[in-house]
Amino acid sequence: MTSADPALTDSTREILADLVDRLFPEHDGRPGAKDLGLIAVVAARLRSPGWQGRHTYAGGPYLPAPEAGFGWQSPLSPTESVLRVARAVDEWAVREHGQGFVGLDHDVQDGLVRALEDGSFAGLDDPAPRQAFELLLSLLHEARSLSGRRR
Amino acid sequence: MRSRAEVVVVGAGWAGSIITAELAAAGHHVTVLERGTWPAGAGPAGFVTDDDGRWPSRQLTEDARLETYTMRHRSGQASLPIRRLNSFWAGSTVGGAGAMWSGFSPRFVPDSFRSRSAHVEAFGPSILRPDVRLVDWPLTYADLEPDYTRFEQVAGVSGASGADPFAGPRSAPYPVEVAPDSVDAGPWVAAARRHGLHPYPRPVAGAGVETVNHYGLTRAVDPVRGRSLATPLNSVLPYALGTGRVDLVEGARVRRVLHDGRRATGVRYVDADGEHDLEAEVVVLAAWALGNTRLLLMSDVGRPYDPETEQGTVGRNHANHVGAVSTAWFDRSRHDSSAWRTGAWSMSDLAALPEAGRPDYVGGAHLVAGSVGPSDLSTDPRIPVGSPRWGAGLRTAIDRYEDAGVQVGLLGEVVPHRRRHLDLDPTFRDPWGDPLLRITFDWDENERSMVRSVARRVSAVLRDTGADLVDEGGVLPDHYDVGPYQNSHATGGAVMGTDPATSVVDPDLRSWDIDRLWVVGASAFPTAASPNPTPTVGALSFRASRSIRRHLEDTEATDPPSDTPHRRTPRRP
Repeated sequence: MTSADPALTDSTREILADLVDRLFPEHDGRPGAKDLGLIAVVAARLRSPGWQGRHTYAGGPYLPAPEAGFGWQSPLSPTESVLRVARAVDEWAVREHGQGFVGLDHDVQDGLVRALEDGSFAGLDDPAPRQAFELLLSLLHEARSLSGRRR
Repeated sequence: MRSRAEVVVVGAGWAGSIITAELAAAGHHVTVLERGTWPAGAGPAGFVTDDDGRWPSRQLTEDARLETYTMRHRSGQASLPIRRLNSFWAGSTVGGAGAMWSGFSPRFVPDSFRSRSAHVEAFGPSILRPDVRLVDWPLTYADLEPDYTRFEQVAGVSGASGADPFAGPRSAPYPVEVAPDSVDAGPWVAAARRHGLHPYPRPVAGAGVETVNHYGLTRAVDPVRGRSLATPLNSVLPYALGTGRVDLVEGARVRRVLHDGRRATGVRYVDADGEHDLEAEVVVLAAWALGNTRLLLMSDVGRPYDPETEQGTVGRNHANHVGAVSTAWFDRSRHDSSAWRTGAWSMSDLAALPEAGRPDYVGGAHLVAGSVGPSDLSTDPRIPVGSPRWGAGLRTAIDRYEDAGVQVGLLGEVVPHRRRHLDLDPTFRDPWGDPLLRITFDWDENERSMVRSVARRVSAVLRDTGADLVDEGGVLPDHYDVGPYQNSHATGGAVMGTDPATSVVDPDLRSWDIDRLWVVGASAFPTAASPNPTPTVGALSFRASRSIRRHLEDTEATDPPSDTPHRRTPRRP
């Protein structure tokens, strides 16, 4: 398990802010994740020991799980995995739409989130798309919980 | 440098702390070896939180880098390490798992101690599936009752004496009595009674008032949670240390029980200064169910269990609890909060046996009910199953339903199965080069049937509350999953019994194989039963402490002459 750089670059932070905002968007005139400032909490979670994999058993060999139920088996930390997702999403946006993920129309961004959720996104291997979706959702829920669970 | 102790206790959780306190009170000298340290922030209220207020504090749970377990679902499958400990937690500080338990304190019902007999009497022998190894305990509820009372007095358990019609007789009321009509019932309790269930206020080792236990220790009320939490840190250890006869060694990780093949002679442990051997007259393992079993296996004490031949004892009858939840949801635009505001209630109707008729499962099902609310164990929003997971749909579900529900949780007994067991992993090791404990465990058809059956039963009640939606639950995943938190109720591995061929310890938790060794905790449970295990662990600890005292007083440190391999004759409790 390598230790991820705890510092998010500005561009990565913006990508994650948009992703989390699509998971918890503005609704009925009430602010979404971005306007609630949840990205600050997300960034803090990514720097936390748990997300950095500091309490993770790193003894080898790393082997693929034979079936569901074996939990985290990646040599990457969860934070490293999330940073990979952000990179892959941005590369996809440039490749498919000629511009970075940030600034794409919400409909296009939602399509990307849907592709992560249903596993059809082609630009990720470790983490797999569905795992990437679960990681982003966990970040949202942790950030929302730590921010007072606003509705 | 320590080189000899009268008694060495491995682990300072509930079991180790109670034994230490009882022996010290009787004038004996005890050295406690604990791999962790006293947790920062532990106070008289008992809840140890992180800086952001989250409980339990991360410092209380074992760091998987130092010790974890490997998992496989069945024999023959390659095991993989549980790299992030989450589906269950092992304690990592002084106080052990007792520093981070919920405090829920039901006793076992009497038939839980005679599980096999009770099932056969009620349903005939055909109720037992071929691979299920349901057994009776080597002691009865009546045998353990005085020690349940002792634990309740130490832990200051609050409850409603006499409110559970299925409970065994009590020799004393709860230390803190709760009037059933003082607990918010909501519409749910009335519905449960209409459907033939018998809810009673959930017993908790923590009260909404300051309490003093019989060790003279005071527990304060946590201002955030409105109650205290009894732990070894605020309820036992300060007394034990105050006797002046207890040496608590923090940061000491025991690797082996030392023995000469006949009797225990001490332990080997590592700390920041290196590795040490500590001789002792008596060795007590109190390192949680999985830790006790691993130490026995690594120390060549007893014969490892073989699931193919069913020979051997160490590692057998590993069990656990299966959890499931059924929930009634109330759209907050149509209901006021009184519809879903319910206190914590338990039910023992199914605690030892399925209902009369032709059940399709065996084992007990302890039921608990209460309002849905923020969880210490998950940050996921509490909304109906099947709600959209993101976007506008998620926000709508949160608006309507978040926390607006009543849930009934099942704590289901995972019955012993010949193939669920513990042994040493052949591949994965800890930082000291010792093998990790391998868990062979998966859900069986019995758990699937239990969860399905109980979910149907309680969902009928929930539909009768006027709820808009009911999530029946009742379906287990394809396999046991080490991802989401479930419970930390591992049992077995060093079970008690009257036959050394099928048990590791006798009814006083004394090793059959190695003299002067006691193995204490849920490792000794022959069956998991359905209620939370801690009060029974506490009661067994008092029982074991008397056995150790008898040994110390009988021998007065005089070695019994013997030149034959040791194996004691079984005796009835």
